Amino acid sequence: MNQVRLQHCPACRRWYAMARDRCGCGTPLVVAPVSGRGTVFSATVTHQAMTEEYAARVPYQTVLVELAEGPRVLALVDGPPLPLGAEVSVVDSAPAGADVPSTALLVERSRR
Amino acid sequence: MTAQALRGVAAVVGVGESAYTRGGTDGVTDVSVALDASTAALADAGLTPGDVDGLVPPYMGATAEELIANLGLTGVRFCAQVNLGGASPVAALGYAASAVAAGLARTVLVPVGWAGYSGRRARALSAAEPTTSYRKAVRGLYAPNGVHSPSQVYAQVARRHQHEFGTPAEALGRVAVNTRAHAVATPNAIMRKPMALADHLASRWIVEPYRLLDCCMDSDAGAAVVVTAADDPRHTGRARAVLDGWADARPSEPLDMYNRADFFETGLTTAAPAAWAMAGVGPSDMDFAQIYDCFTFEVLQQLEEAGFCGRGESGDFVLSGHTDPGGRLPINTHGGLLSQAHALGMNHVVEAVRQLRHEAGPRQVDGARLGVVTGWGDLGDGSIAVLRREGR
Repeated sequence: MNQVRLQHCPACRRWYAMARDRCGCGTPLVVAPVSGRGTVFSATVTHQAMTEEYAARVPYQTVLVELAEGPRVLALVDGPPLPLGAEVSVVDSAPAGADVPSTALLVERSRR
Repeated sequence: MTAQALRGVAAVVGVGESAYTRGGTDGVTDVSVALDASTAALADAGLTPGDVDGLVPPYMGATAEELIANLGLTGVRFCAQVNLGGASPVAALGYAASAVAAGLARTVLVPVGWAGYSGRRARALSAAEPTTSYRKAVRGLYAPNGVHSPSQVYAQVARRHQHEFGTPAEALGRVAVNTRAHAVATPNAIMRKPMALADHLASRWIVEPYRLLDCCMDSDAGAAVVVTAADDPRHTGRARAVLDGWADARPSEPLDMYNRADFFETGLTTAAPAAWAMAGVGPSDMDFAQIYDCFTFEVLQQLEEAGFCGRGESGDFVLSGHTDPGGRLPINTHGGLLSQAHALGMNHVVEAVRQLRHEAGPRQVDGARLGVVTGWGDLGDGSIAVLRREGR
């Protein structure tokens, strides 16, 4: 598992979950790692798989995590569902390369 | 020129629908239902294809060229597409009215059609060519985390609303039950079996907090309207729905549902005040509301963003009975996307016009004179139109 990377604006310091060509302030964006630490802002449990790929996985929880750096990102949960407000850590489950923002995230279960 | 100067310049003078079905009919396509609805709308307006000189083709399905060729539209000189997903049909009313006011067209046809049962289903749309920001977001960012369908995308917002404001499942259920009661009184509605709150609460989960009966249906449906000047001499003898106000907008972070400074902001948050100001009336003046009901919670959210109640108050608003059949603000008097058919919300416009013409039969809102229609699209795009009865 790898650190989550997101687009970041070096000028106005905004982070973007949804990749784009440039920051709204006009500055080219860079891809940089984030802490991965955050809080569960919202969550859903899917019972009806919408694709073949997920048919064996239902029911599964997808959480919306508000990262310490600000942006909210979706992440899959393995195991029992998490409540809203839970403090979590997310990792990149399918790293595509150092210059590419993360899209597939997984909640790391507590290692205590 | 201000927007207010356009108040009342145009009217919907014809409405039409295809048959609303779920299978059982061969050869139903996006194009065929749009054509059926267009033909019906022109007949309702007492006009012919040769009269049409303006066209707002739908954002998906039939192309302008297919409509022109198949309907025999020989005189189209204004043609513009509006792309805000499901918010497009209501937004299109304003663009059609603006074209009429500017003298760019005299008779504008605005059709939609989606064979969403026999053809491509909603949950498969993001796998189609990613031509919209919704499809790009789902395909590129949400799907890798198990989120493929609109129900999954929007459920995160519904769940957060429940968490912040205590919006109960019974409020979502009340929307479904009221909508079904209206469908029972609507002959062309697909889902007409009476529904009780217990039926809603016992229906299976699709994606929490949405149960099956919180979700609109896959259907084959087309609907169309015809817009002309309000004082067009071809129609002055007949009751019609005058467009007094309209607006559409995208939310402030239009690429991503989940990263707005105000999490519950939608396009309607800015569009609704603009439309009310243009129309010179407000939410409390409305005799009915036709609210885009892709899912039950989106009805609640739009009631708040359109100003019918405050943020977080929509649960209490519907549970108080205001939006029940016969209440002070009946909602989706035709059965909506939940129970009539998924004609991309143009069926909401059709119903608004029928209510204002006092042609709604057993579901008629007594003395309806003012009504509002909203549209909801993709990552929260919003549209709204305020309509007023005029004529005998």
